[in-house]
Amino acid sequence: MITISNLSKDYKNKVIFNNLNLKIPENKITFISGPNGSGKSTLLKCLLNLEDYTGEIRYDNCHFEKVREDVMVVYDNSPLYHNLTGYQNLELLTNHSFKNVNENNQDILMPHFLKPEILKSKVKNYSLGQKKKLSLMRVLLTKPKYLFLDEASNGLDHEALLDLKSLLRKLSVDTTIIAIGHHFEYYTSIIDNLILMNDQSAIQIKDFELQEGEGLNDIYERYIK
Amino acid sequence: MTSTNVILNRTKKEIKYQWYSRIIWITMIISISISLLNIYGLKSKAASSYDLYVRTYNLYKEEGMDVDKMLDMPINISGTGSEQVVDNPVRLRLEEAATSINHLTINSIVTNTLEWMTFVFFPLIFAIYSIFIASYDYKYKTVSIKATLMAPSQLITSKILSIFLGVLVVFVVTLFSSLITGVIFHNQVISGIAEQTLTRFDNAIVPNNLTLQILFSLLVSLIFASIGFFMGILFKSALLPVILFFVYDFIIPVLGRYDVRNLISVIAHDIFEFKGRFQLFKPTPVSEVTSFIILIIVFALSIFLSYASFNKQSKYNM
Repeated sequence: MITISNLSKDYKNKVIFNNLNLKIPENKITFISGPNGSGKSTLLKCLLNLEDYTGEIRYDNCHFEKVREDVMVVYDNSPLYHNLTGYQNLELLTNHSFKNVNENNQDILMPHFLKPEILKSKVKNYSLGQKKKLSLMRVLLTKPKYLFLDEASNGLDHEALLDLKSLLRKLSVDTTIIAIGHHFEYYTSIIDNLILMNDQSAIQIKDFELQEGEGLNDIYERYIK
Repeated sequence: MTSTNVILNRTKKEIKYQWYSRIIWITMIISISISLLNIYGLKSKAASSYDLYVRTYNLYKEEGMDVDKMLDMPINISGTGSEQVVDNPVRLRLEEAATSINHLTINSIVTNTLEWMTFVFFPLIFAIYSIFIASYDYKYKTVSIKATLMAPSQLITSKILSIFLGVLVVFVVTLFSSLITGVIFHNQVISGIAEQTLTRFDNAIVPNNLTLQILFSLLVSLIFASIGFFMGILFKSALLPVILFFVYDFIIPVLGRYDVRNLISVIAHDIFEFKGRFQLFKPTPVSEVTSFIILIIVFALSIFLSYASFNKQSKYNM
């Protein structure tokens, strides 16, 4: 479980959020959403220790530094080395060494992820979707304990989206997944926990139940407005 | 994984990046090419000096002089500057040829290479190399990924270690290839020289302080590598630091006695004799100890400031 206690963050004089208290359950999929500027990205930066903050964030009662090796993140802009091949990116942008990536990870690399011949070519020749798939492969192959997905579904084709959804469900058995974004329809069927951020604070909705014909966007509308 | 293991693992990956992206190869090829240019220049000079000796020898021989006796006689030079008169030009040309050819011997080729590379080319090559290593994660925005994989200090340490290792490899390979090429060129030049003449070449240049010269050159290389690294981290890109470095190295004159270039020159003139093709400018006097201490401070400060700058920067979507 990730425990956020009295978390506050401001940039110069602008308060982003104030005294946030959240509990992100272990081995569940948590979706964090909110209007633009509500602090979703800032919360992600704090969770990943990329920004200073006041308050406390504990990963299973440990500081981030203790669990750093078990944390992986997929960013919306898919940062990768464009001058290198897909395989070389997989090797360099993790703390692991992979041998026979495709053969040894059939369970993780779903049919619509990148094929070996594509992984052998340079990333500068990849489409936006292929870059996103490579970013996802990078984190999925390492089987992290905590997985952060920042608008991870953007740019993926229909088949890859279906693959990812089923894979996230499978991974959540022993991975705590935190997805951030606005893609409600996509996450509706797989999330366990919803956090809505707005107006310097956050609402955590556990075990929510959707009425027939209702989607996450309806809950969003209800809570945010 | 312990902190040391993380650093070693990441250093290995930094080196792999340099390998995959060919940065280390490009750096090595440039360094070796520039060094070989010097060796080729030394060979040309040796060949032309020997040719001049042969022509002088034949000229005086045709004029009926006992040139072999002249070769055993000392040289007397009278007059000063352009008015100098040499009474034994055959012996003079022989000694000039001997000196030029001896610059290609194993004994002096390393010193010659160090003199040629240490004061202009190694600083430039290693500063630019470090700027690229420092800035490539900003260019590809992969800092945000690496900052989650490891602590900022581990990231900087692994980059610095990979740079130092890269500098050492390029340095050693450059010296070694120059040495091999020098030996080949030396053999080529002396293969056309009569044994009897070769016996007169026994005034070989015996280098002094070779170990000190190598260590000092390595120190200069590491100082500029660390300055380049700091600039790459500070500016988060390669272009501006490279331009700044070119301006500092080639356009701005030495800014006084405490300019790094002057301090290096102070120590260099104590260690090197500059008998080859490269002549280093005469420095404004500063004591060697002061120069050395300031250079070490510059080196340490560049590394410290790299850590400090990186810690202060945002690592998200840079």
